[in-house]
Amino acid sequence: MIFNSIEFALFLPLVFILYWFVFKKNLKIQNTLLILASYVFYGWWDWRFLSLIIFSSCVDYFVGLGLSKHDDPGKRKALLMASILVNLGFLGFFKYFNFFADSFAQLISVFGLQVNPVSLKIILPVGISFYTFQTMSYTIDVYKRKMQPTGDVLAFFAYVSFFPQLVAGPIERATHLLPQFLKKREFNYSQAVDGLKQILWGLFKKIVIADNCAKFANEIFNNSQNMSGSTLVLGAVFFAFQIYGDFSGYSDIAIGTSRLFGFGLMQNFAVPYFSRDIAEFWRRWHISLSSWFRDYVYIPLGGSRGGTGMKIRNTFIIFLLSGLWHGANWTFVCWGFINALYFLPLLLGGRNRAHLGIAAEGRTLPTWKELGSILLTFALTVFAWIFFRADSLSHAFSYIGGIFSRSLFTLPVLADENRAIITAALIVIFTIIEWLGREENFALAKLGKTWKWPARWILYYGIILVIYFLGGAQQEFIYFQF
Amino acid sequence: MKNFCRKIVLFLLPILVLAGIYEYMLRQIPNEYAYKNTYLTEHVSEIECLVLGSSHSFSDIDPDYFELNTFNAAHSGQSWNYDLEIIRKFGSSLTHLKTVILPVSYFSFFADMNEGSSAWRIKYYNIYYDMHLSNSLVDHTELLGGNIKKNTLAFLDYYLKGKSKMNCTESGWRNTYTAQRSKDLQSTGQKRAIMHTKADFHLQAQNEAYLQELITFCRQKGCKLLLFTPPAYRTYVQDLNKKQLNKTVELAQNYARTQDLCFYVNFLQDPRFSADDFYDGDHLNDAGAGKFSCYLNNYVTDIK
Repeated sequence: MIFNSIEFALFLPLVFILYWFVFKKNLKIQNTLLILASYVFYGWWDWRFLSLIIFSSCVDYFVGLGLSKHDDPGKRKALLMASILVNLGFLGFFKYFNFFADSFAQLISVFGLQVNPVSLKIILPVGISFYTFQTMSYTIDVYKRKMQPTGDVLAFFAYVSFFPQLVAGPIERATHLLPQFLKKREFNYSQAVDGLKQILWGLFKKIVIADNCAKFANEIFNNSQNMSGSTLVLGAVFFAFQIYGDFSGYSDIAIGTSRLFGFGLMQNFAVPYFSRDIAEFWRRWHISLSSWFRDYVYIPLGGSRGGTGMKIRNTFIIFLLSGLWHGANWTFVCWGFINALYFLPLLLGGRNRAHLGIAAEGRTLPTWKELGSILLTFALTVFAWIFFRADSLSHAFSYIGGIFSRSLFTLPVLADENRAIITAALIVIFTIIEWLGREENFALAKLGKTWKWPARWILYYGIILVIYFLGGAQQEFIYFQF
Repeated sequence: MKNFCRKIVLFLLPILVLAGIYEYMLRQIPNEYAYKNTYLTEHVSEIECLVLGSSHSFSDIDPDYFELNTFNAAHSGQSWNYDLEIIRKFGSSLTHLKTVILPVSYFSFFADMNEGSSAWRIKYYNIYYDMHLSNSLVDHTELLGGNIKKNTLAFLDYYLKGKSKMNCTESGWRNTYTAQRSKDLQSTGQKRAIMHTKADFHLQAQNEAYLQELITFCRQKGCKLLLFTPPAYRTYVQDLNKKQLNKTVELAQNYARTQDLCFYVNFLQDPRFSADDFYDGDHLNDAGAGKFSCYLNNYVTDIK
C-alpha cells in the first residue's frame, strides 16, 4: 500500500478510529492492532514477504532475551552474530545475490576465464533495507547494554513492523522508538494537527515536486544521448528535486502519520539543499541512515580517532557501504565514492563541523558567502546524483561527457516546455517555503501558524488544490527499490 | 479527540461535497464512450457490421461508406481485451451481425491497454459502459481516474464554452482528424513508431486467446471476421521493428489461413494512400478515412 493512494486514505482513518476509540484503554490490544494494521499495510504489496519480517522479528526478539540471560562474552557475541547474519543474510540474498554473482563473473573474465553465473529471478521485498537495519539496531544496543531487552513480544513486533516507517524509514533506533510502544499513548491535539500538516506537506513534496520532476528527469536520462549539455544539466537538477521531494516527502508522511497515533519519529531530512558544505549535507540528508552507519560502523571502526590513514579508510568504508545499501549496482558504489572524495578534505582539514547550525540562522537572507557555499554544495550534490540515477557507469560517464560539450551553452530543449516552466516555478515556490521554514522540523510547521483559522484553512485548501491540479503522473517512491 | 475529529470532518466536508459535484458535472459532459454505449444499447439488434479496435479503427473507418448497417465501436487505446468486453456485453443482442472488423496493428498482439500509457481510460468503460473491470475505486471515478489535466480542460470547455468531448459522428467515426488540422507526419511517424514498439512479446499468448474468443463468438453468430493492418505513412513504417512487424503479419495471415471465417488484409504500405490522406504518421484524416472506408466496404461486400 502506498501513502498517496485511495486505499491508504481509507486505511488510515479506519486504523485511527479503532486505535483511539475502540482499543484505547488496553495497551496490548492497541499494539496488536498496530501489528495487524502494519501487516495488512505491508502485505498489500506482497503478502508472501510477511514471512520474512515475522521471522526477522522472532529471531531478534529471542536474541534480545538471550542477551539478557547470558553474561558470557562469547555467548553474547554468538547471539549478536546470529541476529546480524539472519538480517544481513536476508538482505544479501534478496538484494545482492545477482549483483555479486554477475560482478564475480565479470572479474573472472578479466583473467580470461569464463564463468556462467547463477542468476536468480529474485523479487526484492519492499522495505527490507529499512527494517533489517531497524531490528539490528535493537540487538546491537541490547548487546552493548545501551538498553534492556523487552519481554513484551507485542510491543517488539509492533516496533519492527510499525507501518508508517516500515517500508522507507526513518530507520528508527530501538532506544528511541521501542519505549514508545511500552507505554500508554495519550492523544495530543496539537501533535495530531501538526501530524496532518506534515502529511499534507509530504504529499505536496511527493505529488507536486517529485512526480513532476520525475517526468523530465526520466525523459532526459532515458534519452541522454540525444540531449544537449544544457538539457542534461537540467535533467540532473530535476532529478535532485525528484529524489528530495520523493524521499523527504515520504518521511514527512511517515512522521506525520506516526504523530496521529501518538508516536514521535526522528527527523530524517533537515533542508539538506541549504547545506553550506558536504559534511553539513550528510548531517541533513537521510539522517536516520547516516547516523546508523556512524554509530554502528564508523565509530566502532575508530571513527575520526586515529591517524590519517584510519580516517581515510573509515570514511571510504562508510560512504561505499552507504552507496551499496542503496542498490546492487556499481553506480551507487560510485556515488558513495564521490561523496567520500567530497567529504575527506573537510574531515582531514578539521572543517567537517564548521557549519553545525542552519544557514542564515535568525536572519531572512543568507550572506553572499553563504549563498555561494550553498550553491556550490548543491552543484556537487547534483553531479553525484548523476551516478545515482544513471543505469550504469557507462551511462553516467556518457551523461557527464554530454554535459561538458559546446551544447552546454545552448538553450535546453524539452518536449513539454510549458509543463517544464510550471514545474520550475513550483520548485522556486517550494524552495522559498522550505527556506522560510528551515528552522522547523518541516517547512509547513511555521507557515500560517499565527493566522486565524479561516486563513489557515484557505492555505490548506490551496495546497490540496495544487496537489490535485498540478500533481505529476503517479510515480513509485524511489526508495521502495532500496 | 472529539474536537479533533469534528474539525477534520468540518474541514473535509466542503472538499467531499465539491468533489462529488465535480464528479457529477464531469460525468454529464457528452463523450464518445457514453454515446456509443447508449447507441449500442438502443440499436444493437440493427447492426450488421461492427467495427472494433483502437484509434486506428476509430479515425480510419467511417461507417457511412458501408452498405451494411455499420457502427464504429472503437476507442483510442482500446486493446483486444476491451473489444472483447464490448462483445461480451452486447454480443447476445447482435442478432443481425454479419461482419466484425478488427485492426491488427503493429502492436495489437503485444499490447494491453491496462499496461500502457492509456491505462487511465479504464474508467470510461467502468463509468460509461457500466462494466466492472477493476476493483480499484480510482478506476470508477472521473475525478481520480487519471488525466486530471484533460478533465479540467474538458470541464472548462463544456461549462464555459459549451464545447463537449463528443468527437465522433452518429455512426461512431472520429471526425476531428481533419486534413486542415493534420500534424507533422515526419515527427509523429517516428515518435509513434517508437511508442508502439514493444520490448518483448510477453502479451502475445494472452492476446491470441482474446482473438480466439472473438473468433469463437463469430463462429457462433455465423458472421465473418475481417482483420486488417491499417495504412500508415512511410515515416511510421520505416521505424517499425522488423521482427515485431513480421510477427504481426505472420500471425494475422495464419489466422486467416486456418480459420475459415477469418480474413486478413494488409494496408500498411498500400500505395493508394499518400501524404494528403494522413492526419499523423499512423492515422488517416477525413479524406483518407473516406477512401479507406470505401476499400474496406468492398472487402466486406466480397466476403459476405
